[in-house]
Amino acid sequence: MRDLAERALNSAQVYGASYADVRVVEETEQSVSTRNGVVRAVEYGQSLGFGIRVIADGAWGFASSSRLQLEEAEEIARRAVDIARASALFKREDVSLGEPVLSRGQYRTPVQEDPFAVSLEEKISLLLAADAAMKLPQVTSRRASLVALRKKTLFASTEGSLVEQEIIETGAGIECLAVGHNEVQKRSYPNSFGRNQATRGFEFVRQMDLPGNAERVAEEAVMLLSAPPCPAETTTVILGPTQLALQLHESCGHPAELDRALGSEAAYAGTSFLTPDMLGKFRYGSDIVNITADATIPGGLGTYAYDDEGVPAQRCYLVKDGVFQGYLTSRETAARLGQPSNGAARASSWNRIPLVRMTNVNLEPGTWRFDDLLADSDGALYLEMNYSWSIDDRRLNFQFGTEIARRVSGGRLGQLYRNAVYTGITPQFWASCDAICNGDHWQVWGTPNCGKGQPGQVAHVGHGVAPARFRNVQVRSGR
Amino acid sequence: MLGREKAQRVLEMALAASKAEQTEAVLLAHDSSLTRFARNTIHQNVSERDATLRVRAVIGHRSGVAFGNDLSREGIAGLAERALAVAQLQPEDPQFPGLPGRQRYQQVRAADESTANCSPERRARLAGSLCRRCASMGLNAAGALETGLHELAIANSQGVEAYHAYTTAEITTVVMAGDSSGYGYALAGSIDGLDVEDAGQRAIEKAVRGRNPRAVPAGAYTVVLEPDAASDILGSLAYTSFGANSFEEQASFMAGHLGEPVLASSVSIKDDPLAPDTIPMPFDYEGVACRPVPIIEKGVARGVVHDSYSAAKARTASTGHALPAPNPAGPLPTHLVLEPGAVSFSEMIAGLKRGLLITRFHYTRIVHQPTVTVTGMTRDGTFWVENGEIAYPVRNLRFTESYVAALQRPITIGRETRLCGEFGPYLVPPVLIPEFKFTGVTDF
Repeated sequence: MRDLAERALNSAQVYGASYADVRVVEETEQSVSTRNGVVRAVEYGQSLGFGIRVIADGAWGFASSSRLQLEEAEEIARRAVDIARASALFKREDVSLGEPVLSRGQYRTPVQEDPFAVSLEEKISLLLAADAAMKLPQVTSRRASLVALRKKTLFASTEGSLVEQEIIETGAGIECLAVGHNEVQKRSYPNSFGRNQATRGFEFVRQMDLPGNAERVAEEAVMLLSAPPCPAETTTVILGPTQLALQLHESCGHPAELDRALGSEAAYAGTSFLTPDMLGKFRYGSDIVNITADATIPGGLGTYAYDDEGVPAQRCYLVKDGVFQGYLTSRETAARLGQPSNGAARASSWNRIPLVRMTNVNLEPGTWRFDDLLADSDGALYLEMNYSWSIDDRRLNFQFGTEIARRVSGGRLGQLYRNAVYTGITPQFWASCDAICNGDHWQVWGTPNCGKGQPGQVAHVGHGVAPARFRNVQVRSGR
Repeated sequence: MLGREKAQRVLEMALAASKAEQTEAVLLAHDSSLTRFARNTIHQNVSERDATLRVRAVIGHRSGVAFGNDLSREGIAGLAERALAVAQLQPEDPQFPGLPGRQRYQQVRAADESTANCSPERRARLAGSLCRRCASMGLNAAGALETGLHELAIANSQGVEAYHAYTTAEITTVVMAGDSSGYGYALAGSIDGLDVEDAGQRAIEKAVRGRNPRAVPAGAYTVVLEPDAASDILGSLAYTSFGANSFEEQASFMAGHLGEPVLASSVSIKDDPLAPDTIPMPFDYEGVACRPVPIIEKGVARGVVHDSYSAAKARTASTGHALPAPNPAGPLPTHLVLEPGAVSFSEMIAGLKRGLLITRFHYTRIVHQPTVTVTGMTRDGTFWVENGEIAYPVRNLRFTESYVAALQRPITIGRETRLCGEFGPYLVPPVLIPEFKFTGVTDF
């Protein structure tokens, strides 16, 4: 791998690159999924390749290939430089990366139990046990899945960086559909989107206890069929942890990506209402809202030691005491603000360039115990587990739906409602946050399906949250 | 480009290396490049070359899949071995019917050489000229121009032998003018057939016309959906309702209603991977020959698409809509066609007394599956129409609407179709829908 990286960098310079970096990546994945009592898919996959990113004539070029041969490294380096020169025909200014980055190091995700060492039989047996426990007459679809990923990356640059990382991820989850008269209801565990995921070993899956939660999940799906639709009202809501993770992801994480704010994503995912002139001034939320981006949290799905530009992982504030404080940045975007990168440039694989991505974007814990919050929130609605999510291209106008809603009554979660959706405008919503649960309730959730960029990239990111309360929220039935 | 012979050699090596009772080898190769622009300049410019082999090993009613892009003899043998090991560890799935047998394929359009060899400079000049034009008008262009060569080769031990190479060229652009934006999109099978200028012109006109948008309150309005917006309806119906899995699980609105009217009689929808006006595909990812599938005929539910697995369960034949195995999500339509009507787009606008013209939707998501209720935002060109004329631009709105209910109303389908690529290559005309429900505005 090192030989190939060296040949790629040398060739890029020979062809005229003023800067080059190369990532040689080997990815391995194993996935198992079951559906209605049968193993529906078992898959083992491997992808190897390298990507060379260059600056030539002051513009970017990138080329990649799955052929790990020295001659191919030369050819792909030449292709990257040719592409950069074509880009330069229409440049307005030279690309600046700011101060050079010289990183040297190695990192491996610490795991207790290597997920690839656990037998396939055991994984299948775990999923089928959960599947069986979801078997109820009205449940027409039972799904369970499990995934293990290993990504080895060697990063080297003409500035002298040489970094080797091995990231290991494990994820799993169950979901079921219950069907009634002209109604279908879904329940998932422990998260929607099929699973929860972390940079941890198989111990993460064991701790989920999928079979132990499966019956409850199925019963709730059936109960939802006959639950009344969520009433339309403007009310106090408490967001449960997985829904709050989604809220944070969509309404803080994405708008805090500096490339979006600078217009790089305008044609696809959109821009951001958080423009650079708002830095340090704009009131994003109430005083108790503190949001960090932290790529150093043990086990977080957005945890690593170096980003894909070789910049060390960091923890920084995006929102402090309710005020917009900082962006997620790459070297190029940070340089436009005269800042160093905070290490959030990530590429989904060898064949994609690094983009500004979330790491672990977290709502820092508050002071409330969950029981006290319920006792203090009579009549509120508790909304949990995302069902649908939609937000506009500036990340302002959102409407999110949850799998389940319950009325808070007498300090407990009471009446069940189906098809709940809530809607709002991002800064108004976060300004209405008046209580956040404490560190005892705080947990990092994995979002393994964050899409961005053209060609498309899927990032794996994390969100640390504890349940929180919001006032004057518009809620209704989505049907 | 690998080419047919080299692709077949790879597949033969995989079949020869396998000790399974039945074996399938699927080779997916592509060489694609994308030039991305924003702020009237090229800011990302990338290319990739990859070929992935997927081996499915079958023993009785058990199957396992291994994939990888190491196409050396050892790499291929390793995949065959791994797929077999995965299959051996699985419990029996009595519903698995085995691999399909020999097929006959219809000839469809092949790869275009000038697209396969499109230089970065040509892409840069096409994108760059749009950027320069916008800059000269005080506008701000963003978007992407992509060209790609794709190869799909499939062989199995039961006699399937299939190879198809095709090319694509695609332009997406959003042109911004301060408080407004416009969208232009085009997809073609060749770079020579891609009308970049037309897509750019549509985006520019919408951006310029969209300046100083006015607020319109939430409510129910008649809408004219341009093809890019209407394609969202097809995509959502495809995902929730037109595949065999959702039908079998009774989550599709068509479940239990085959042969009955389910949508307005003006609506006919089929999936036709062989249609020459699209990016045609002669076979699916199992090597089964694709065939057109009538899904809705004059409002009546006719059927859903199948792969071998779902077809065996439903005791019917595969329609050639398999995705790469293993695929627990089941088959999905890939080339939907909404049958055009007789009214032109301009006649549609001219006949509208009061309503909204919508260019495209953004970030749409299913809120309620049985009714295919979807929420999303309008984007990049929303206009108020009054007395048959586009009166003024409006600020973007959030809608929450049942697409099924919308298509049950007295809708009008336009005459001119466009190839839309967001959900697949779909052929879509504009659609007029009464009483479309808007549930929110952005007041910030």
